Amino acid sequence: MKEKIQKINILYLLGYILGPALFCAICYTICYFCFHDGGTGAVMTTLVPTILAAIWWIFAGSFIFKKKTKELEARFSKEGYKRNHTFYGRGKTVILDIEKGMMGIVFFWNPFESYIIPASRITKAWVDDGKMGSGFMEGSSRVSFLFTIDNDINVRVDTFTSNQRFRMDDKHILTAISKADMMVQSINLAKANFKSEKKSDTKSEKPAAEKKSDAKSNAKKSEQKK
Amino acid sequence: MGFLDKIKSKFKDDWCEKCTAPMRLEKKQLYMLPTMTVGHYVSHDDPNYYYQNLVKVDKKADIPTGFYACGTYIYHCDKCGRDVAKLVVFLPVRDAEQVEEAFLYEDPDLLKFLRS
Repeated sequence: MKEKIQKINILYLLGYILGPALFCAICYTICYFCFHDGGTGAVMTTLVPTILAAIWWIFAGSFIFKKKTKELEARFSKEGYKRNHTFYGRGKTVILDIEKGMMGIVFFWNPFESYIIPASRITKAWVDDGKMGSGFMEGSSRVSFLFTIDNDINVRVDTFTSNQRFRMDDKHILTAISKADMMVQSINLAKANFKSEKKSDTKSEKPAAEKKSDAKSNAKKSEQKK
Repeated sequence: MGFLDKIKSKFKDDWCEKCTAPMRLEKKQLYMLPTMTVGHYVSHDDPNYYYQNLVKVDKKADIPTGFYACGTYIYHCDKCGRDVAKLVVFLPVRDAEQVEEAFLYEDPDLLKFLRS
C-alpha cells in the first residue's frame, strides 16, 4: 500500500504554537496564586517561561527540521540511494536519486515523518516564475518549483522569495529560475529512470519465472517416468 | 594617439592597451563549465582552472540546465602582435544570460588551448 504523504501534522502544529503558551499560562497562574508578593519564585514563574517560550518559537522549529533533514539524508544514503540533488527549500527539503528514480522529502510542519517515495508517484512537475505586472512594473517576488504527488498533493518549493518585486532579468530571479528548472528537469528524469528501471526489472524477472515453470515441468516429467 | 583612444583602451576589452587601437576578433567559442552548477559559483582567476575544466560546446542548448557556461573571445592586435583572451563566465537561463565575471588573459597555454 502506498504511504500517504502528509504535509502538515496538525498535532505538531498546534502543539508547537499553543504548547509554550499553555506552559506560560500555567506558570503565570502558579505565580498569581503562590507568589503574589513577588520574589525569586515570581521571576521563575513569569520571566523564565516567557523567555523559554520565545526561544522555542524562534529556534525550535528550524532546529527540529534541520535535525530531521539530516536524519532523512542519512536514511536515504543508508537505503542505498545516491543523493544527486538535495534542495533545502523554505519549509521542505527535497532529495533526489536520479539514477534509481527515488525522492526523499521532509516537511517543516511534519518533521517526524520523512518520506522516501518512487519518483513515479509524481504526476506533474513545473516551474512557477511568479511573473506579474506589466511594462516597467513587470517582475517577480517568488520563484518556485512545484510537483504533484499521486495526483492529489501539491508541493511548492520556493527557490526565491522576497518582499520586493524584482525585474525578470535580475540576478536573483535568474538564479532562482535556473535552480527551479534544474530541479524540475531532475524530477522528470528521475521519474523516467524509475520507469525504465522497473521495466528492466520485470524483463529480468521473466526468465526466472520461465525457469521455475521449466523446473516444475521437468520434475513432473521425471515423476511420470518413474 | 589621442586622449580618447587611451580612455577607450582602458575601458574597452577589445582595444589594445599598448597601441590604444582596436584589436581584431580572431576566434569566438562557447564552452561549458561542468564543475560549477547554479548556486555553487566560485570565482576563479587562475587561467589553469579554465584550461583544465572548459568543455567545448556548439550551442547554448547543449549546456544542461543549471550549469555555467563560458564565452571565450581571442583578440589579436595587428600592430603589436599581442593576443588577449577574454573569458565571460555566465549562467544560461532560458533565453537570458546571467553574467558572473569576465577575465582577460594573456596566458600562452590558455591561448593555445582556446585556439585548438
